[in-house]
Amino acid sequence: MSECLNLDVQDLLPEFAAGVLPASDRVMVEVHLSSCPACAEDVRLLEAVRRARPVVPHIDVAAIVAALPAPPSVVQEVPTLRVITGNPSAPPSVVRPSRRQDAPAAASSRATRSWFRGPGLRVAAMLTVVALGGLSLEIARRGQSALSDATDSVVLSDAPMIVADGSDVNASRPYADDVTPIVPVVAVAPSVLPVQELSEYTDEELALLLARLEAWDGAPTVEPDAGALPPAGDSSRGDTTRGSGDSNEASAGVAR
Amino acid sequence: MTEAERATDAALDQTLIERWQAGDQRAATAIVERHAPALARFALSLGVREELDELVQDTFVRAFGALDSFRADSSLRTWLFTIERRLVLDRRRAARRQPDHVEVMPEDAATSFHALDALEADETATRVQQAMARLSPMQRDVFTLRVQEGRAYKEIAEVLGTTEGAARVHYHNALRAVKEWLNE
Repeated sequence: MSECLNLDVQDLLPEFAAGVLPASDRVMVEVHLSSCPACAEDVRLLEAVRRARPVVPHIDVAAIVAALPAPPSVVQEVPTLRVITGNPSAPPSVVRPSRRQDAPAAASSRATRSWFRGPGLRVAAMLTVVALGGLSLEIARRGQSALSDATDSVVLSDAPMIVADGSDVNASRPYADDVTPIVPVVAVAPSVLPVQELSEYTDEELALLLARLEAWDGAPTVEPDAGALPPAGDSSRGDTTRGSGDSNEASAGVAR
Repeated sequence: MTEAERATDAALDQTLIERWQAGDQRAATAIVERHAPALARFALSLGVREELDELVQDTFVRAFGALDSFRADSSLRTWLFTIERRLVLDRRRAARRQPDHVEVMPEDAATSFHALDALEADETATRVQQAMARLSPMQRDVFTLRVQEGRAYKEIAEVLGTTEGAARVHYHNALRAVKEWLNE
């Protein structure tokens, strides 16, 4: 079979075989094919080639679209911050800190940050320390006052405690039998004084007390002699100055 | 495809691109639906059998990432073909560097075509595919793009990195060769 020399028609044959040629060109090609067996054979071959197109497997369009990058307009909008002003009808202004025209907002932000980083933070820290210190001192003072009050009146022994008026402290404590007796922690409370004033002793008694005090080394070495201490006035007004927890020891301390 | 149809196609693609760039995701779906089958078919004609979906997806991802650089000098599909072919060539180069990788060379395409499509294509189609597989890679790519995808010589030259005249010559040589092999 001889080759066709009409290159213009040959260039149109693929489109003719695909059926996409415009009407005018299609008519021209059909006329040519009727007289050109070579081109007619080419058309049959091209039609077979088109039919032999590979079978396209299913393409997951959604997966492809999901993997695509975001459109440029969306990418630009993500980092912006829209500030809603008081007027809801006004369009929101867009803050882009890197832009020069937004310098006032950025400067305000920088000023706020510098205040926190500068002396403001130090002043705030100092005030906090002072306030906490004052609060702790107040708590300590109240605690000590309460403790002092407690040692003044309640003190220090599981034995019957006698205060100045001679009443039993534990007797005034509700549920005293149910609770652990207060453990003596303060040996001598400032307000706990001998219940007997020195002026009530006679000179001889005072001389005897001074002599014994001078001879006393501060530690008991022998069992106390209950009869050594001369009673002065009411004997029921015992010594509560010793916080040993034992009324006998307290008495012995003074007796020496 | 006629010039008028190409112009209409190009205008539609350009509109879809602009809508996607404005934030319309449906335009991206439309673009993928329009061109994915042709890309898959072209990949098959290039001898790609493994991970075809991934190849088509990578083509779109790369294209959409560079749409700003797309100029309407050629059609979008031609541009997509160009990207896909480069990806195929890159994969083949990478596969050659893997010693235990069994690469499907273009010369093996006949067997691949036959194995994959024999049950679905008639005997003539199978013979055509086998004949096309015997073409040189350039002849086969030109023939495929010209006959099966309806691309003009100018577009084929752009996709394959050759000249319009060379593409025309490759087409006629491929046509003659296929005709001879079918008549054997």
